[in-house]
Amino acid sequence: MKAILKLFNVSFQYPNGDGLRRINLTVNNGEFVFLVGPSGAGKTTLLKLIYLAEFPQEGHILLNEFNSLWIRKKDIPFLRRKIGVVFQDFKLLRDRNVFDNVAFALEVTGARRRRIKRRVLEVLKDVGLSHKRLKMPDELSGGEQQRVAIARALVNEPFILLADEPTGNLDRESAIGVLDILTRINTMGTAVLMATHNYELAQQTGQRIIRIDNGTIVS
Amino acid sequence: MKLWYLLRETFSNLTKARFSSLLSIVTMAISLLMIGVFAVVALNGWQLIQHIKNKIEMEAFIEDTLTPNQIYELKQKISKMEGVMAVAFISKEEAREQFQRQFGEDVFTILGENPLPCSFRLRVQPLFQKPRRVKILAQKIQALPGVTEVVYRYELLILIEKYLKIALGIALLLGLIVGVGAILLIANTIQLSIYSKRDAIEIMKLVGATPSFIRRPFLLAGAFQGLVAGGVATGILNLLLFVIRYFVPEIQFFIQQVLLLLIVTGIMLGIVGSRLAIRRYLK
Repeated sequence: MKAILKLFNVSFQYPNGDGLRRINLTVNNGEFVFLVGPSGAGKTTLLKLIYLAEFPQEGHILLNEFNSLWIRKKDIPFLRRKIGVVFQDFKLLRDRNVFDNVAFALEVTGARRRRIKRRVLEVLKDVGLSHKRLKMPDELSGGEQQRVAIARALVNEPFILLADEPTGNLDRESAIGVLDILTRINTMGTAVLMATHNYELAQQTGQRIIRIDNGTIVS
Repeated sequence: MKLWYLLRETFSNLTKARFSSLLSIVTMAISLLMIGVFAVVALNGWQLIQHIKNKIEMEAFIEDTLTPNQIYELKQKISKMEGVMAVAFISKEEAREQFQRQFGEDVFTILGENPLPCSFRLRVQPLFQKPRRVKILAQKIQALPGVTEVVYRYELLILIEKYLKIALGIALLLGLIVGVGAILLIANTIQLSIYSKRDAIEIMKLVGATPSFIRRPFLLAGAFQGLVAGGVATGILNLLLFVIRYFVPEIQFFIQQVLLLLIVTGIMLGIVGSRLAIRRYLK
């Protein structure tokens, strides 16, 4: 199976000493991988390195045709369009409705209005929120807001979806709902790398689990 | 970038942080008003100096014995000299009349004769009104046969030149300080309104917006604020000048260029200020 993400001996350290040491990791096309570890283990930093919000201080990262060593600054936006990112705090724009929040990710690519409309309605259907497209984020439950964030991450048809504690702010029922959607997306072909501190939740799915602690991969 | 998107985001930037937008406009208007007052003073000072310089004449006295033909030829020679703008012949009789106008007495009555020689009064082209160039021109005229003496206000020219340099230096320095101060102040104020959109900028970066795509609506909003601020500053400056003219009617202003300058500077300040302000969010 083709690898779409590879980390080679990646190290990164913040000024306070926290960070990651010699991380090696491979995610294959269409795979679902859990990144499990306690708070402060380095999960978020690892995801940040993958979408190049931070750069490895040692080692390098391969993402499809992009290489962290050679990528030019002006190409980073184009890489990000191919990586979907979902956060614990959803990061939705409070001043626009569900439809516009999702459409936003396509507008930045310069897509035509008709295509934006068609594609946004498609992904909203996928996450089961077509009927709430005109609601404002504050009118939705936490689980629904996270589904909007997932729809936004998917609208550009990414090759991988990075999810940073997507269920961290949700009750159990909503968390399972979000996990179901991520699993469904994965079965449609998109690779998913999900960071969570909830080992049980990861174990239930039967997917590959990578455990991280204190900046290193432990298993 | 789609135009409707650009306009929608620009409008949203302006209306979502209304207070900050208003503050930016007020800051810019005050800065522009300072620049405007400064420009009006500088421009009028400059015009005044040019006016004084244009009044400075050179007078070349000639021998009384020259025939009308020789006088005509001499006038032609002087007229063709580089730097000479206009030449007028003053006959002995005209010199006598001018004396009478100046001193209220007829030189003929005082002395029993008219000792005032004929002369040419010449005006020098503006570009030639430098002490050194005027001196060289005077020497050239002095060397012409038939010319006895050339007089001009050399010291006044030197004085004007000296103070003009000082004034120009001060004006440039002040202009620079006001300009840089205005840009920094405006950038800081605009930063307040951009701060309220920092989450949106963060999300834009995450979903793959290019820096120029993120920047453009902010630059357009800045340009619009600058345009409004330029309009406000123009209005206040006009009102100020109207009031001054009411009390000092003889004063002349050259302000049409200044008004245009304020609008254009306003737009530029808005764009540069926004660009500076958004820079830190795009790193």
